[in-house]
Amino acid sequence: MYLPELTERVDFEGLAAWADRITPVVDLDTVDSLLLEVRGSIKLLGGLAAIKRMLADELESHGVAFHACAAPTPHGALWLARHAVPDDALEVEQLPGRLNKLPVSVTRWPESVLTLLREIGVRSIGACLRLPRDGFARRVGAEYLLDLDRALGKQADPRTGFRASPSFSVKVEFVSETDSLEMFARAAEQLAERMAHALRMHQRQAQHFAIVIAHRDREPTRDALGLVEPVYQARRVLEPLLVRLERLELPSPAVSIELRADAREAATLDTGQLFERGPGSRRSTTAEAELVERLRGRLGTAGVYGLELIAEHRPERVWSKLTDRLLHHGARSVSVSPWARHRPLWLLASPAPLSRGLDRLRYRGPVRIEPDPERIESGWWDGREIRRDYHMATTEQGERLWVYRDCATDEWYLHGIFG
Amino acid sequence: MSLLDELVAHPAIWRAKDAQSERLVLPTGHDELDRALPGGGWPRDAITEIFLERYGIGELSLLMPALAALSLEERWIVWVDPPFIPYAPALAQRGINLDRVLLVHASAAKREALWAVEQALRSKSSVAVLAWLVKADDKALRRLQLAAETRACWTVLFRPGAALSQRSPAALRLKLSRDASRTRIEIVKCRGGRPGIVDLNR
Repeated sequence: MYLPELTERVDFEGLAAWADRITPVVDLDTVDSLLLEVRGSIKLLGGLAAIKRMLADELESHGVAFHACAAPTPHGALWLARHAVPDDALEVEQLPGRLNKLPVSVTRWPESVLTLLREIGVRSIGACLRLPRDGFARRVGAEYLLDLDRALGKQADPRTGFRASPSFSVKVEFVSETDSLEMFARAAEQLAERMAHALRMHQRQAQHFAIVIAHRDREPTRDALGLVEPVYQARRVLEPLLVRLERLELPSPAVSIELRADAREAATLDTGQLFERGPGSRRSTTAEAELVERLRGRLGTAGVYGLELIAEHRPERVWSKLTDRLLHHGARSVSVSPWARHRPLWLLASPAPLSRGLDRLRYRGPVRIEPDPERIESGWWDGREIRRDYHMATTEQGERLWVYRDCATDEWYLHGIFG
Repeated sequence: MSLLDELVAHPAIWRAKDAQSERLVLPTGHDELDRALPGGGWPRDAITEIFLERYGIGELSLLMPALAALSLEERWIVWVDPPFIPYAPALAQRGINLDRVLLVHASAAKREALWAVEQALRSKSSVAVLAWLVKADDKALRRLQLAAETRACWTVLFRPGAALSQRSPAALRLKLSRDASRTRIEIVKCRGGRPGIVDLNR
C-alpha cells in the first residue's frame, strides 16, 4: 500500500528521513510527492487513519499542505492523491472503481499526450482504459499504457527505496544574536563535543562538514569544512572549526550555528598500544594530519599538498600534486623509470624559451649545451605529443640547467634546473 | 689499550655521549663538509641559513643525503615557498621518500610564510623544514630559532645574498657559489666552529 502526498516547498529529504518512523520504505517520486509503503506498518501503528494523523501532525507543524491517499499500487495512490479527494483504495479490486472517475490530468503525462487524448474525447482514466490496448500503445505511447497497467496492479512497479545519507547535525542557538568571536569559540566547543558524542554513539567518523549560520533576517551563511582524514574526536573537529569561524565574514550577527557531518564511514577507533612503538604509532599520524589542517585553515587547501609520481614519460606529467589521501602512505607504488637519466631537482612550471643571440643560446647569459641528448617521445594517444631532445647545459655563472630542443619546431627551452 | 678501553670500544656498547651528539647533529653526507662542521654535520636544533645569488648551483643536492635519511622517519619534510617545483622524479632518484614531502605555498604576504615555518617547527610531526624566505627580520628569526631548539627539527632557510649583512641568530650560515667544476661553500658563521671554505668537487 502506498501513501503519497502533495506538498510544496518542503525539505523532502528531511521529511523522508522523518517518515522513517512510519515505514522504512520510502520513495521520493516526483518533485512534490512522497510515497510510503505502509502495509507493514498499519497494524503496528494502529491503522491507516492513525498513520494519516501522524503525517498530519508532522506536516502541519511545518505549515505544509498535503493530501494523502492510500492504494495498493504507487501510481494508483499518487493519482488518487493528486485528485485531492480523500478516497482510499484498500484492495486491488477497488482500484478500477476509484481510478475510473479521475481526470487524465492526474497522471501528469506530457501536455502533448493530454491534448491528444482530449481531442479523441478521452477525459477520464476510465475512458483511457476502455480504449483498445494496441491502438492506445500505437497512438499514444507504450509507456503510458504501462503506467495504466501499473496503476491497476497488472504490472509490477518496483521502486528503489530512499536511503538517507547518514548525517549528523548539531546546533547551538545563541540567547541573543551575536558576532563576538568569544561566543563563537564557546559555541564551537559545544558543537565539537556534541558532534564527537554523536559520532561515537553511532561508531562513525566524518571527514566533511557543513557549517550553517543562521541570521535573523537573511539567508543563512553556509561554509564547508574539509579535513584531511575522517575523524571522530572532538579536538580534531574543534581546531579547524575555530579557524574557519575566525576567518568567516558574516553579513550580520548570528542567531545560531549548526554543524552537519556527512558520516558514512564506520569509525576506526584508536586502540591503545600495548608496547610503545615509537614514531610509527597512530598518534603521529594524527599530528601529521593536524599540521596539514592547521596550515590549510589559513593558507587554503590548494596551498598545502604532497607530491606523487605518475607512470609517464612526459617530464611535465610524471609528477602531480597530491591534495587528497595525503596520509595514505605506502599506497602509491609508481617508481621512476629506470631509463630516465639524472633528473634536475627543480622543474619550471612551464618551459621558458631560450633566446638566440650571437650564434649561441642564452638564458641570462650564454649557455653551453652538453652533447649527448636524451630523446623523450611520448603522448601520441592524448593529443599532447612531445618529441624533445633533453640536454644538460651550464651557464658562465656555474648554473646547471636542463634544456630541451623541441624536435618539431627546433626551438630550445629551459625546463629544469639542477639544484 | 686498557681492558676498559677495549670493552668500551665494543660496538654493542652504547655510550650516552654518543646519543647526545647523534641527536643534535645530522651528518651531511659530504665528508669534506662534515669535517668542517662542529659535531660532524648539520645542527639539528638550530637554524641553518644558506645564502645564494642564483639557483642551480647545487643548493639542494647539498641537502639530499641528509633529507634522504630523514625521509625514512614517519614525519613531514616541509618545503615552504620553494622558488620552483621540487621535481618528484629527481627527489625519488636521490632517495627521498615522496610520502613524506609536504609543499606549502604561503601567499605573497611574508608573514604567512614565517607563520607556516613556525607551525611546521612546532609540530611534532615534522622532521625537517626547508624555507625560501625573502625577508625575515632578526626578531622573526629568533622566534624560529626558539622553535627549532624546542623540537630538534632540522631547519634550513634559503635567503638572498643581500641578507647576509643582516644580524641573525642562526647557528650556521653558509654562502654558496659555483664555478665550472665545483660548488664552493663558504662557512660565514659557525657556532662551535670556525669560518672557512669547503669546496665540493662535482
